[in-house]
Amino acid sequence: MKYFWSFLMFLICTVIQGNLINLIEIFNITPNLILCLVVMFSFLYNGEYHGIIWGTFFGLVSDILYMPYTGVSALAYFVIALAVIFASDVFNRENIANNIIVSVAATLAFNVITFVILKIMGSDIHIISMIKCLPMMFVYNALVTFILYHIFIRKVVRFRSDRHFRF
Amino acid sequence: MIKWMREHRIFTAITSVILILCVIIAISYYNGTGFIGSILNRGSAEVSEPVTGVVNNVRDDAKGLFGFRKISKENEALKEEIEKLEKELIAAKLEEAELEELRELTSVLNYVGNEESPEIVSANITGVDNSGFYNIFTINAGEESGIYEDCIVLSGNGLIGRVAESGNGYAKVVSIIDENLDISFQVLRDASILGVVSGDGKGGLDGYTLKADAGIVEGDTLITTGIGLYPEGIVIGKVTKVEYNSDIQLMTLRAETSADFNALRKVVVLI
Repeated sequence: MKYFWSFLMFLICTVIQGNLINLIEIFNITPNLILCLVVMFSFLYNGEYHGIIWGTFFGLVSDILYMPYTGVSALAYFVIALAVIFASDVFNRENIANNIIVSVAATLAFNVITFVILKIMGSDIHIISMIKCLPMMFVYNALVTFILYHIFIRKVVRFRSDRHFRF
Repeated sequence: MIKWMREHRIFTAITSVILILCVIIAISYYNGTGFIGSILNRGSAEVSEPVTGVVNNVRDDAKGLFGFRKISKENEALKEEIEKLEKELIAAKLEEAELEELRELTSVLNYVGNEESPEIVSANITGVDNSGFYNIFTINAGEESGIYEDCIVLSGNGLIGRVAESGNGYAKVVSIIDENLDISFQVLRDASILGVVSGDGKGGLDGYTLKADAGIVEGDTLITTGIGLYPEGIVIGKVTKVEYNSDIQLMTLRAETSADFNALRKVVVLI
């Protein structure tokens, strides 16, 4: 995939993260679209760096727009993208279960990293507040990953239904 | 050193990016988002405003379609509340007449008071990211309307929080439940009961009264006293739990905020 198209996807997700996506909020939680894209691009596109580059860049942008401090989400996306790139060498990338497991693990990692950084910066967020949000975030991000997987996998592996390409 | 860095390019690149991001976090901690942040936030507020309007309309329509029974119940409750408020309004008008007389008296006696009523700016919420556990929202008014850091933000139901950052055309608001800022309170029922509450980081408020024998009870409404950042008379929330803490020998309490943070559309900023 060309870096321009991945840039465009990240841009659209960053813009709608603050308003349009709130239409589908449940228990005041919405999916983290940038995180889902970071996971998808880092896990499925071997040897390409869409997730780590645009994830870090749009992490900075979303921090400026929606976070009290700039760089917190960017750092989290960068670390997660790195970990997912390493994970993609170990796990079968085309298995949907692996994609969802990685997405859930990334959601947990993102929340833990941002929580720790915000705590270091002097925030008074309680750990229970973070833990309470986690189950809904897992479900939501896994659902978005599931949808994105079916879109991306056609681009990553062509002729998937062909028996020669089955794993 | 350079040779070692060339040999370990990936490690060097990763470490460099992490260090740069740490520096950015440290700078933003001390200086805010800066010039670039100001431009981005302004641009985002411009783009988001019409979109947020559409989102709110769709939400309200959907609520009307799927929550007819709930709305009907709300309607009945509101009718009862209107009746109650009308009675209160009559009482307030009588008190107003009394107050007017007292004001005339102060002018006759040349008394100079220290009353200062703050100006009010209303604003729409243009952006809120609910994908994380930290809730911060952006409004479409900023420095051009006289909104600066630490201005107080209210909704129709009560205290929301304070402005954490402002720029031209936008301001970021942090809610009272998300930070440990002490708010001095008095009980609406009995203004002699004083205390302090702050966000507990779990979506509510906790605090204590200044006297061990304060007669605070569950259901009491807390309002600001005017001491510190918040002006007097703003509704903070309702007490949900009261217990005597023998360690500090004071009454400790838990409270929930009056404002519904999930249903916010418009806010008012005191400048």
